[in-house]
Amino acid sequence: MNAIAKSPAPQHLDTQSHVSRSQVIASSERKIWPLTGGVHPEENKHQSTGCPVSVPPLPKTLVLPLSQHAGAPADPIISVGDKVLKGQMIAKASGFVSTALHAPTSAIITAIENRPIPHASGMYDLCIILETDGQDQWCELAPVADYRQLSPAELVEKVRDAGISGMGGAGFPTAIKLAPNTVINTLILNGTECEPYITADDMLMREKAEAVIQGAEILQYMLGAQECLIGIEDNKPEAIAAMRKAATGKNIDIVVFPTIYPSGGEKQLIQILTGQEVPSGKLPADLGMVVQNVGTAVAVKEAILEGKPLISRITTLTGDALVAPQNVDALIGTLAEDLLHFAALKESELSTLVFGGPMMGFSVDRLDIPVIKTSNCLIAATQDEFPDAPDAQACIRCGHCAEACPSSLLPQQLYWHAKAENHEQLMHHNLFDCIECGACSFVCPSSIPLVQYYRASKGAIRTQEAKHAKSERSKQRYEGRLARLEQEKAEKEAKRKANAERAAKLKAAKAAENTESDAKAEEDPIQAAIARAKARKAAAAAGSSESTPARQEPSAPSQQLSAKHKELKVQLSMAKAQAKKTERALAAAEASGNGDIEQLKSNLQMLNDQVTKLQQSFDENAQTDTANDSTKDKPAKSAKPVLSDDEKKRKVELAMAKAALKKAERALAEAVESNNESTESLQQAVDECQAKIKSLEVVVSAPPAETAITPSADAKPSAKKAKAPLSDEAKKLKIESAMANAAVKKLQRAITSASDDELEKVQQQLAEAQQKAAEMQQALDNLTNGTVVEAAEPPASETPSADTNTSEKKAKAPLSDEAKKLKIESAMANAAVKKLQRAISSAGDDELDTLKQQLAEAEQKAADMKQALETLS
Amino acid sequence: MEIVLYAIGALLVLALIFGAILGFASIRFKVEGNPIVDQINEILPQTQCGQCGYPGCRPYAEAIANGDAINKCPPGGQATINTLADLLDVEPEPLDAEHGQESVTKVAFIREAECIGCTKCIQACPVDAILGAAKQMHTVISDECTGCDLCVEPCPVDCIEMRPVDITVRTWSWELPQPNHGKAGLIATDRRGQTV
Repeated sequence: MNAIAKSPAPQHLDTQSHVSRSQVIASSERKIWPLTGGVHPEENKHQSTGCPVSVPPLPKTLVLPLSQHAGAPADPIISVGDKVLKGQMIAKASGFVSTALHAPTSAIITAIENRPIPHASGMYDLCIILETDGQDQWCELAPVADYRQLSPAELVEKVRDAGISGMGGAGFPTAIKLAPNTVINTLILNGTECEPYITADDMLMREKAEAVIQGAEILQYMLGAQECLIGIEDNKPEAIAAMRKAATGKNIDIVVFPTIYPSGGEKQLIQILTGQEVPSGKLPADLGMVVQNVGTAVAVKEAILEGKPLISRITTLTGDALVAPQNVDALIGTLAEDLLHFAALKESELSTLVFGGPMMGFSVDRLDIPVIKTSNCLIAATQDEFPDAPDAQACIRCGHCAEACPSSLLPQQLYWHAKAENHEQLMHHNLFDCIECGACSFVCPSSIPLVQYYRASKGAIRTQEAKHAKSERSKQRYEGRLARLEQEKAEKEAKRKANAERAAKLKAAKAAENTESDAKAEEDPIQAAIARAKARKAAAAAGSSESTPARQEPSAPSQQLSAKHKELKVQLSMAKAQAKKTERALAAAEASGNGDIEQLKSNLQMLNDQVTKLQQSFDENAQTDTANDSTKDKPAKSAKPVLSDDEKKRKVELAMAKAALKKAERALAEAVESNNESTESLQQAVDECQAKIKSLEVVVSAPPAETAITPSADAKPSAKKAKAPLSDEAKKLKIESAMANAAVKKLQRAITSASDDELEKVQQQLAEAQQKAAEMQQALDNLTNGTVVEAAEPPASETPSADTNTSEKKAKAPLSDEAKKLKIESAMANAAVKKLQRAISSAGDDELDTLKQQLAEAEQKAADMKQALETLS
Repeated sequence: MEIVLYAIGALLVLALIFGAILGFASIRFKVEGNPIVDQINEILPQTQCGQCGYPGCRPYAEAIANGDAINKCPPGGQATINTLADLLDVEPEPLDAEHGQESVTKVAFIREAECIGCTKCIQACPVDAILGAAKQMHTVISDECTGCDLCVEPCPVDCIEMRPVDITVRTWSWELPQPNHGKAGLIATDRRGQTV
């Protein structure tokens, strides 16, 4: 319940009191401006001004809420059990709009906990609880003798450290107001105290006028303001007199103006004193003005000149439920009950306790609530004093509220829109310019709690704005997340593509390598096949006995050489075919006969010389070849490239020789055509040449046959064959393993979510899945063993070492793939083990054993997998 | 006859001029996308909870712009429905119960001792309000949590709960006065008749 609703019935202009006050105003030279609107509630100030400000006894317990000011709550810098001295900082400012908190007396921190605080909501908040030790021992203070030696900024820092916040009611941290961004011309001290009942500032000005003036001077220096006005309502003649006396000879103007509520509002006071209106949404600082409460000025003076932080304040104790209403200099944190008992509370008559004034204050429903920096008044009211609010009647559109509004708003319109929760229209009618003074509610003949509507609407709008701000942030975060996911996806895709490309390149490179060697291997079989076909034809055509020894001779050595011999045989048969051709050509030449025999003979001679030279070199090569063959492995490896070069050379030379022979044959044919006489000798020469070429051919074909061609042709297909089925099987196995893993995952999930009776079933399933996984693993093991055997085969069947090496290489390539797969498998097995471990950690006691067993099995499996991997690699 | 021709000619010239202006304007001041979708999206609470049946607030905004019902957003509640109705100039409807009930604002809370660090909730959170890493404890940044509920389901150890946001001294606000509980009458006799 709000105090406003309980305020006494409307009391309009009490013209009588104005007559006596006009004399006070007359002595003020300064022009004043009238306030828009305003009301004249019954003042009720005389009750508490009868006696001077007293100091209540030190309370046993002090409760200091961390949030005594507008802005962020203070941050405790002490811990429970600490002993603190009077004036020691116990909580520091936690942000820009925040201020510090000090121990009001020497005490022990007994707790930092939630306690009821003076708040309209009646809620609890974090408080520091102090148990006073009664010694009231000050900590070391750092007073400033001459504040003009310090810069305003240093003074502002001191004010911040002193924990001073506005003492008028709102509690805005003073240091922020003292460091504005604009140039300040006018400092206004607010001694208006327009609200009924409250007399704290009145008593302060009466008793500490000097301190107020000193504080004003310090504030003026800090702000660099040329002008200082102290505004006081004309219902405080004693205070005015005291202030005037203290301000004599100072550049400070005491401005007195007629009493009207709410002239003490910051914007209202500025309007009265300067005639300027602070625009909506702007601050007084934008007009070059700063308004401070007189109590704040005293606090600043004490902070600077005495080094004392803000630890106490003057609070009015009033209300009909008190026998001795008065003003007290209460320590911050003193509980209301302590103060009220000090003022002789008649508990039986107390009906409402109001923190603050009757117009803007709030009622609380308990007495163990502490006085804080903004608590200027406690009203212990009786039922007669603050009767229950009459029921609200319908609005009769009288318009009194609009007349009373000091902010020139339209309370009626605001009321309708607040009722309809039409926030847009409320904003349109400048709801947030409402100072919640309660003047409209006060004058309302229908007793409508108008301010309650505005407060609720303001709260709803703030909540909605906060929600909107949050949803905006959520949207940003959501969109940011989407963008990030998109980017991650794109990056992944790019990476995948790059990987695929690299893999493709590698594959292509491998394939190129393969095809290079394969091409070599494949070319030869083709040639061999052609040769075989030729040989068969030749054999069929000639049917001579020459072929038989050629066939039988190479087949004599051991089986390992059979391939080589085949090749030799092929080469021989090719040579034979050539010989057949030449024979046919010779026969044709004999039939016709031709001249130029001498030239032909010389050509033949040259050819023969060439052939013999070639044969010599080939013989030498053949010898080195055989020597290399016998030394095996490494030398063969190093000799291989040389050999192949020689081979090429020899082949080229052989081709040349063949060409020469063809030419010679042609020449012979021509010669035979022209001249029949010398055919026999020519034929003999040709025969010789042929024989030499034959032998040459044999030699040429032999070394390659012994080395690369045949075995590689044999080895490669076998390696290929080994590889192809392997990859297929591996794929299958991979899929199976993935499936098994998925099953394990599912089961694991089931275990975590399963109840006890379901567990057995799930465990059985898990066992099955594990068995499957085991089978799969075995299959994989078999496969890898097979790979090893197959990989071993080609080298075993080979004699020449060069081939062994290449085939081994070929075999190793698929092996490394297998190794990778195995590694993945083992990693997966390990993951399964870990999952099981996790399942164990989350499982109940009774199923622990079985799970542990399974874990052991899984670990065994993982170990097996590792072993397999090791043997394989 | 000539006058008629002149008139027709003048009209033709005018038509060409204005046609050109309109054509230019339609290209120069072309609005990309549907602006109403943005306006609707502004009103929606951006919890991205998917309770409306769409994968996020914007898709639902698009659906509303295409004629879907405006009462499918439980997190927004009646306030959002009313604002949408206002914007689209349609009759406000009560919240469709099929999509859920309007409830107090909630935020997710992870019972940290039970968290196994699986990161599943992190992946589920549409506003990145859960902090954590694989095998590390996770926690909710409650200021950023929209209370969408999406992280509760994927948690394998069920350690996430939705807790209503407590009203603190700083978030508290006055309530609208109750309109006299039916006691208010227009004239005193009315009221007297009721209270007696």
